[in-house]
Amino acid sequence: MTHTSQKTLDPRSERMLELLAEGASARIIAKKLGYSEGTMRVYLHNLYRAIGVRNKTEAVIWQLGRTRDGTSPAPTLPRPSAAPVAQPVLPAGPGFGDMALAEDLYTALGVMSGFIGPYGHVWEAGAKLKGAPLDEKMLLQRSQSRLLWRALLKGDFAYGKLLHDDGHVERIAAQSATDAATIACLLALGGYSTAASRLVSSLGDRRRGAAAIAGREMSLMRAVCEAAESNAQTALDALHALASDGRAPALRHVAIAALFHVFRSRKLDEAAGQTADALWAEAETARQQLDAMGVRPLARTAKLPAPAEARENATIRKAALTR
Amino acid sequence: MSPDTALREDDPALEALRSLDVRALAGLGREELAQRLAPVIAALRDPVDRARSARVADLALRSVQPFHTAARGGEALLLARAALAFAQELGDAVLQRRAHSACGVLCADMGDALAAIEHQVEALRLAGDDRVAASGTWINIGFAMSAAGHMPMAGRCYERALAVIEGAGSSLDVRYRALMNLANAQFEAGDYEDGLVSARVALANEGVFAQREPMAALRLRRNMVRLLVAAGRVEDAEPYVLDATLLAERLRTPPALITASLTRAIYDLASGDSDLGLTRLDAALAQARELPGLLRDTLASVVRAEEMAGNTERALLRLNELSDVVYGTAVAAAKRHIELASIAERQHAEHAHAQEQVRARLISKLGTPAQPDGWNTLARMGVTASIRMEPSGMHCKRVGALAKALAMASGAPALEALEIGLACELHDIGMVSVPEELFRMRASHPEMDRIIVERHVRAGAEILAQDEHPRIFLAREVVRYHHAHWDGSGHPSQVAGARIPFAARVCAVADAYDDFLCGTRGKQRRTMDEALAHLRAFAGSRYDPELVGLFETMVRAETDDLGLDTSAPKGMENFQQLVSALAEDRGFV
Repeated sequence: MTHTSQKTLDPRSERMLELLAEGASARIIAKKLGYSEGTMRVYLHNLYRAIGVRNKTEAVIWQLGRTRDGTSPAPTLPRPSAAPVAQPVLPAGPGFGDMALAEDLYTALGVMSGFIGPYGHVWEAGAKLKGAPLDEKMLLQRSQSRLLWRALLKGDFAYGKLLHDDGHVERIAAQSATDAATIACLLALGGYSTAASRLVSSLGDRRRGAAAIAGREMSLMRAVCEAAESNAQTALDALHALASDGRAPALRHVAIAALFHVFRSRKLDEAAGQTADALWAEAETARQQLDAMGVRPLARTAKLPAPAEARENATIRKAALTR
Repeated sequence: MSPDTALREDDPALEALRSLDVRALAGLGREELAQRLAPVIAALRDPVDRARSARVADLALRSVQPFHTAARGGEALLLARAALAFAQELGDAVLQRRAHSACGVLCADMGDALAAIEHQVEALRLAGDDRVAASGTWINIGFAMSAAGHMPMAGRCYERALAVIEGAGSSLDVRYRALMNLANAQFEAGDYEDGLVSARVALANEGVFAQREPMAALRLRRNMVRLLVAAGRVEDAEPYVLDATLLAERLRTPPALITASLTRAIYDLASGDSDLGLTRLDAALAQARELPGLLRDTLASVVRAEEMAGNTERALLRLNELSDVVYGTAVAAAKRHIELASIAERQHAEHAHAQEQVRARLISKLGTPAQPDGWNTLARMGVTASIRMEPSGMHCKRVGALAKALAMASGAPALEALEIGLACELHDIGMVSVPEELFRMRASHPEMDRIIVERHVRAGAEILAQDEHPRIFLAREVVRYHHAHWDGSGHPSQVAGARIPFAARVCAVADAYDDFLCGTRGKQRRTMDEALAHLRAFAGSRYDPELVGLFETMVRAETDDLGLDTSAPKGMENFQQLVSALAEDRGFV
């Protein structure tokens, strides 16, 4: 007997559980209740959390147990955390992963997205330490990379397609290996697999000729293309390895974001949520590390500006006092 | 048969022990000392003449104190362990207690706090009803606790020592030592007024002990000065500073000199002479790196002093090193002593809390980081120095890139890794002061290598003496210790293991890999695979074994990604590709 069994569920959840117990898929439940399939996935995910189970099968067992003898079976272990590096400061209420699933990574991360990805705040502080000039060319490069990074977080795969259709991809990829990797992720995850694999193979060719140096990026591109195309576990493993690679944090963030999208497209919401949590932990760790070096990009005073009227009143009062 | 008749006056073991007083010990090299101790240890292991062995064991345990004072704990530990083995065999409880006690003190000297506590607990059990012995053992437990950095616990041990001895006659020296140590523990815990009371009582009880145990007297002076400064009574501290200097002059052992330097530095800083104070601290810390038991205390003093002098960045760097050293020793020891591991964990939790508080306080004072003044000039000097060893002058840049990647692979935050990489570019800056002739004389004079190493390390540290900026500060440490070996056989000798600063250990691995591949310093050129294998062969002797492992994993992952042939005979081109892949800015750091 646990607290979950006594909690009354709302009618929608009850209906969803009934349909689940009858063996309906998410798509059928969505159709019957009049929601889109994506929304239904989120509702189901929230429901699993609410009753303390991990997946559909466990939810069905829970429902069957409840209807048979009025009690639920002992709930399974709560889902394991994604082993975040630092103690993540999660917003109260639904977890970060749920938020990212319901909306998108960019919306969920908000201003924290500035701490991760290529050319983020860490890079900026590093450039200052190195004394590298932040000239126009560099700033242009950065804004281009940040645009791509944001598109990846948002899941805006059409942006990659747009760049591809307008013929910009080759130029961007030639300029920056990092951007090439992000574009390849956008293309592959958005289902434009031909375009993605063409990009990868053309870059692979160029590497042999010129002294291009984009080993890690090449590995990432190959892994994402494979993971997006096939359902093979090996492809997922390769991407997972890159997402936990300690060598280049910014590229690791790209891999984590890509992994989130792959899990999501395979309808592994649990895993996607945990991946999102890991990305949040990365952002929080980066913020803490910058803080420890004395870099505080978001530090502002907490003083509220006085409204204009109040200020005027104060001046009048002061004037009255001095008089 | 009395013990005296069992031992002839010209017995070699007896002679060896007699000749080893504090002063003689300070002047002896490692091997000389080992030779002198050989007959003593042989006598302890002698299965035939048991009476002679008993007499030697008694004398050996008596001579542990000078070894401790002269900071030769490592060598004395062999002696004490042999005596312990003999005592256990003999079943003599008093001798066993003394041997355990000696082993414990020496283990604490070597930074192995858990083994120390283990020995002392055994000694306490054997002490039974002997209150003086039990009290002395409690002091030793406190000593082990403070070597592990657990000051509140150490303070409780000293209080316990005082309670045990309460009312027992002929125990003045135990009381004196307990009070002297208690004052220190109270200082560390922030109870300055209580500490001053303890120190004053100890001073009143001092009498002849100042002559008999000058090291304890010196420590008492240091505690007095620290407490007076902390309580804001700087002018009262002056006579104690002078006393401490005189006592150190008399002893002239490394721990005495370090303690005196620290005492003076604290006084100088408090009375406004911060340049002089910081120089003294620097010298004290360099010496303390050779003595595991003193490093923690010295580092803690340095953190406090740097904070007092307003050098926040440097205080933070020292604090990082302090937590590495303390955690490193505690964990390493816990691995060897599973049954005591839980104590270590608890201890560490308390350290971690205290250190986090200091860290947060320091971080809040940090300014925005920027490039140090005159960095470009220094970087060019680094290249100039590299050109003397190989014509491209890129050796320093390559080592910088490899060091950054290694630091990152070992889990350092990205910006710290970046700073370490940049600092490592200056590791050979001192080469600018080495005359060409010395390089040319290398082939004919084998000792020339050592001279070059010593010279460029000294010169480099001088060039970087103005180390206000954290990066220059790191670079100076790298310069000083990048030829130190993991087992303590490099330069400076005796500085070993985790006592070598992290950045310098990283630099040593990167530097060696580059040398193996490029064939500089008269080494033969190797392929990338061979260079890694060669590096592995020296892991644990010259280089930090953990870092070598991480380095190999990092290089292999990188070459796999780049699709490089690591067994290619002319590996330079591939190596260049690897290094530029590591160094290029692609929006990472």
